[in-house]
Amino acid sequence: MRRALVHLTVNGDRYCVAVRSNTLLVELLRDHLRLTGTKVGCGTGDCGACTVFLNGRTVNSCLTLAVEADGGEITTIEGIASPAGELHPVQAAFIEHGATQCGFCTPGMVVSAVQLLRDEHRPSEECIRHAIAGNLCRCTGYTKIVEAIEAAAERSGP
Amino acid sequence: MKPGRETLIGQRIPRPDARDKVTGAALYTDDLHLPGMLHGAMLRSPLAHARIRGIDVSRALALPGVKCVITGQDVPAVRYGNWRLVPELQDETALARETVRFIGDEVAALAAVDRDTALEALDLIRVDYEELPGVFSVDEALAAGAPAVHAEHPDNISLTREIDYGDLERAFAEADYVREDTFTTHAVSHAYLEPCSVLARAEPDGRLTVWTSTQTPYYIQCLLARTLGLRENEVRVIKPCVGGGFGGKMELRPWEFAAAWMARATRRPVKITLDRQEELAAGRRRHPVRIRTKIGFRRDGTLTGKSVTAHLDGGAYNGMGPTATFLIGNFGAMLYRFPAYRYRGIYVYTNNTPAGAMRGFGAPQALFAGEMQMNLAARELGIDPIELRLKNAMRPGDEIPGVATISSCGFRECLEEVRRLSDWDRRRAAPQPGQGLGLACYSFISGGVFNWFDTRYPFSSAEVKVFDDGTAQLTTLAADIGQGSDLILVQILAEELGLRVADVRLLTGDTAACPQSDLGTWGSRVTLMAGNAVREAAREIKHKLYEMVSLRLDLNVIHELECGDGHIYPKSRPSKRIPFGEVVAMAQRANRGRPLKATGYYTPRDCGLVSPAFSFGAQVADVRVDLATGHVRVQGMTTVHDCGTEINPMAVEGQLEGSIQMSLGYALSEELITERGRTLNASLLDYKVPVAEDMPPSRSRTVETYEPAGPFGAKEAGEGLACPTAPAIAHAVLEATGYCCKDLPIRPEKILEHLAGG
Amino acid sequence: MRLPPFDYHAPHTLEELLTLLAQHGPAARVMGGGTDLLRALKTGKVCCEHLIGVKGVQELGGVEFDEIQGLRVGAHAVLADVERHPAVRARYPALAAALDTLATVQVRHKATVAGNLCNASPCADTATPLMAHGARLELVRPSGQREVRVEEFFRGPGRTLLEADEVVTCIRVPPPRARLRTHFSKFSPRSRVDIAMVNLTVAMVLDGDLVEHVELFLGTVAPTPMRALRTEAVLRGQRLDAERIRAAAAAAQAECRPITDMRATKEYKARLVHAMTQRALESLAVVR
Repeated sequence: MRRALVHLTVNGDRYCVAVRSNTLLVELLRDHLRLTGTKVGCGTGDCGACTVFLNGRTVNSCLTLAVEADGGEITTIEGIASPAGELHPVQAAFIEHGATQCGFCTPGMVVSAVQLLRDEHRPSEECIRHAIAGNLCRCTGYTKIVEAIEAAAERSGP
Repeated sequence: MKPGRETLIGQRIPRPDARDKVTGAALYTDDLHLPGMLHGAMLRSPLAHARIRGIDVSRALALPGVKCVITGQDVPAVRYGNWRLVPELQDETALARETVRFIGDEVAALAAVDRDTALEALDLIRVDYEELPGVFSVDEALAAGAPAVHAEHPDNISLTREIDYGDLERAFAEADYVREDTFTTHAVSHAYLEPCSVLARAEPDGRLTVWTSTQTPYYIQCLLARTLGLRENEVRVIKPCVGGGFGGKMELRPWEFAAAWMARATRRPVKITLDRQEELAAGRRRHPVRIRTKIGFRRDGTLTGKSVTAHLDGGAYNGMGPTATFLIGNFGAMLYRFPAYRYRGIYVYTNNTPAGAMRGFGAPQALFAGEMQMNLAARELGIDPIELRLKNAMRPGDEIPGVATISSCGFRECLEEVRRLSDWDRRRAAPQPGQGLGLACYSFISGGVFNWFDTRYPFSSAEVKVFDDGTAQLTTLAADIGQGSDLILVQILAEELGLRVADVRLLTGDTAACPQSDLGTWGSRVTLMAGNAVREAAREIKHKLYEMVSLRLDLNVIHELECGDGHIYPKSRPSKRIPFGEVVAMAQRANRGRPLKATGYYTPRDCGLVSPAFSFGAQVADVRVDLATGHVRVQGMTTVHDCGTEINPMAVEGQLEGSIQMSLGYALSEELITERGRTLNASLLDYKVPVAEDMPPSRSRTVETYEPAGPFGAKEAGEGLACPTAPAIAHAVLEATGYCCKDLPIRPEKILEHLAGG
Repeated sequence: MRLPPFDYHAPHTLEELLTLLAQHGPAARVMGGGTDLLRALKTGKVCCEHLIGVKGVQELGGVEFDEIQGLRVGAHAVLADVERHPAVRARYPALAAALDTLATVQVRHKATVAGNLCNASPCADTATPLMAHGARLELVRPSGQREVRVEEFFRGPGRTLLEADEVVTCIRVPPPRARLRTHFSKFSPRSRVDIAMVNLTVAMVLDGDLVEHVELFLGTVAPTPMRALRTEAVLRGQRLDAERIRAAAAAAQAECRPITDMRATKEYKARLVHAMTQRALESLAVVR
């Protein structure tokens, strides 16, 4: 099986990683780069715990080959806060509003919320719930997650 | 109870670990990596019942990169299970020896240099099975001549449990109205987001360190020691961040044993992480239960008695089933005053995937039956369902003979308030086609008193150290698996010592560092039991600190002292306050420099057979049914509950909101579909947990009571809330359509069949 | 559950793509977004030794619309881009509606319309709206090219008429007929993003309340998305009143051919077809 060298930028840092053709992006991130914030909850693209930004759009990294990311830009949960450690409004709102319990869905959920707020400045509740329909949570019932996203949207300005 | 100073009790304090979680810094077991680490995998039986004639692992061992392969023959045949008190109930071995008993039963394990190699090697293990006939339902298992799942139980009954009080025959004879119903509930998955994972490392001196996604580090320590032939202190179990458990991670599991064994055999760390398909197909699940229940009322709605017979489909092994069997009987007798009650619980072995503890621990099943029956009785008696509850509701001080005494109980208040909050009377007076309100109630334990694990230690332990810099450290084995118990315990300690939450450091989840013992997270025990242990330690510390302050201020003996706002002071002279750290320094100096620490313990004693305290609640579901498709949409949930004091209302809300998601799924969309023991929908696409769009709007209130047995008056809030939703929705569907669901889940097809006159 | 070993190829031109396909034959699979394919490879539903990604082939991208040609959806255009295209929202609302409910945001950022069709699940959400608009796929192979209607493309569950050396280059959707009204409807147990238990698209032209033109496509209730010709016959040339609608709904229920599976019984799915057809027609009847 062929090996390939994948060149990619992750959270602003450039990497060159040797992978197999069948290496998944989530494996590249977690195993090769030791960025363990992105989680594997199902491996079949149903739970959203593996959500990352690929070239500016959220995808399930468990259904993305590492080779597909060649030449690309990835942002994981570790890259959402500023390099100086300043939290994104979504992250701050999650903390304040009690939107995390076990926290396993949180990285994917935060990334999806950040994507939403890039697309919609003042999403309605229905819009928020639709946008995170691909992120399963078993602890919170989604209520405080939705509240946190609403609060973050407001804080982010018009 | 509420001091003059600002109290931390009742504050909506955010979780201190939230920052790590929102930045991806929190470490779960699969995130851990050790040098030289191997990846393990489990080989599982494809057959539901078979004899193992032989296993050939040679081809797997020969695959480059494979370092270890083990089967049941390679490891000691030690049976284990959480019910150490009754050894006959410990019926599992980590790897099957001669017989496999369910599809997914672990047969072998191996470790290799990477995950791909491990999975490839699994395919190279050859198992020679001789298939045996299996049984896949309670009826099949109990039929005459049915094959035995375990040779020791030829009738496929693992255990039975009975509760009897009052004169039941007379109760039914005297009743004006008697009804009997049979209900069935189905198997569902915990579906915690984090699949089970374990990382084991053998230390050079033969000891073992095991990181594992568990609710119960202490149980894992004891049972690993037992199965590996080690002494308890030679096994160190560490609980990293855990991504949910809900009862599914409170037992020793085969991969924990296998990783530990292979780590010692290879002298390299071994990690095993399950995939979702394994979890759904072969992981623990909620017990399917059939409940036949008969109940008697006087014409005015007063209960005369009730009998319950429950058959649990336990699957192939006991797991936590015996506890569920016991608790279903207890939950059946809760909420209302039953002058007479009889329970028979029968735990049946089948060749289905074994069930285990799951949030509610038998109460969702018991209450689905009990509450639907109450609602059906209300309809026929012509009494409003809330009125019927009020007429029979338990009150503080009530006794279930020989079983429990109810201390705090805000049940009646919950009923009154939920009636008001859900607009019950107005909505019921003007019913709309296809819409309806349904009611269901619950009561739940705040931890269990029965020592089925046969621990020789206190049920909860907490060590508190205080320092002259004004900080404290809490060290406890109490396990936060996401529900937020860490913060609650810190709040309790900070409140006791008058410190801020940020002044308290927490060390948990390490059996080598934390005082023995704490039984972990299950049965909603942590706030009450670990919380009380924390308070006991705090009291001892305060006693010493007060001695110092009394001496320094030369106080008259009548003065009461208090901790608050980082200081210690006489209550009547708060201006004479001394900073906390300074008092600690004094205590240390008085003791020749020895640091100040204390350990508190809690074991429930003299509080009946079930629990020191019970939560209560009532929930109303507002449902709209599409009469053309049978689709059920929940338009709103209203919940009023009594959890005693809410130590952290934001945490309590989180438990309620999460409970609604889980039980909405239980009622409507979640179902493990099996056929002759095979799970057909073992993916999160086909096993349908509610997503954000599915959630109904929800309103809730708490009724404040004060539970003397609980820390600052607190009781459980996290499992009871998972119980009323399915019956409330089923009742609402009945009101909306006339279709009475007695067999969960509620199916649109059945609604349509009913509407069509079927 | 893991991905089996394979070689991955990332051609930059259509010619390269076709050469690779011809070279590796039936051991090769073409990958658009991969959300269905990678999943199927992991669960063992599908095997292949060579995966050929199309996203690098520029000429296979893009979403364009003009009044003469209509809509062109490149083979690797992702669902999100198609759904957001102003022309799709304005001129092909049934397609936009289907896309909005198709899986999740994450999947829509990666999955392609072409892939959705090539995967050939009878419940493919893009199928019935495309069929209702008379969409065609452009297929290319070394020996030449051809155009096939979406309806003909499906051959059975998971099967299309694509040859082993052939690829989809784009989907062409003619400009909508004047006064065409369309309605897409999907029923799923959970939220909208769940896989469809039944989906359908009705396309209709009304002259007053007279049904001048009607096409009804049902998904998930036959081995391929199907056209309900008998139901159409009940409606064509008739007045679209309540009784006619009821008759059409009953005809659709009788005409569909669902199977019982673990999701639902065939009787229930047929009942859904009845209810959804009725509602779709009722909603079209009131549109002005």
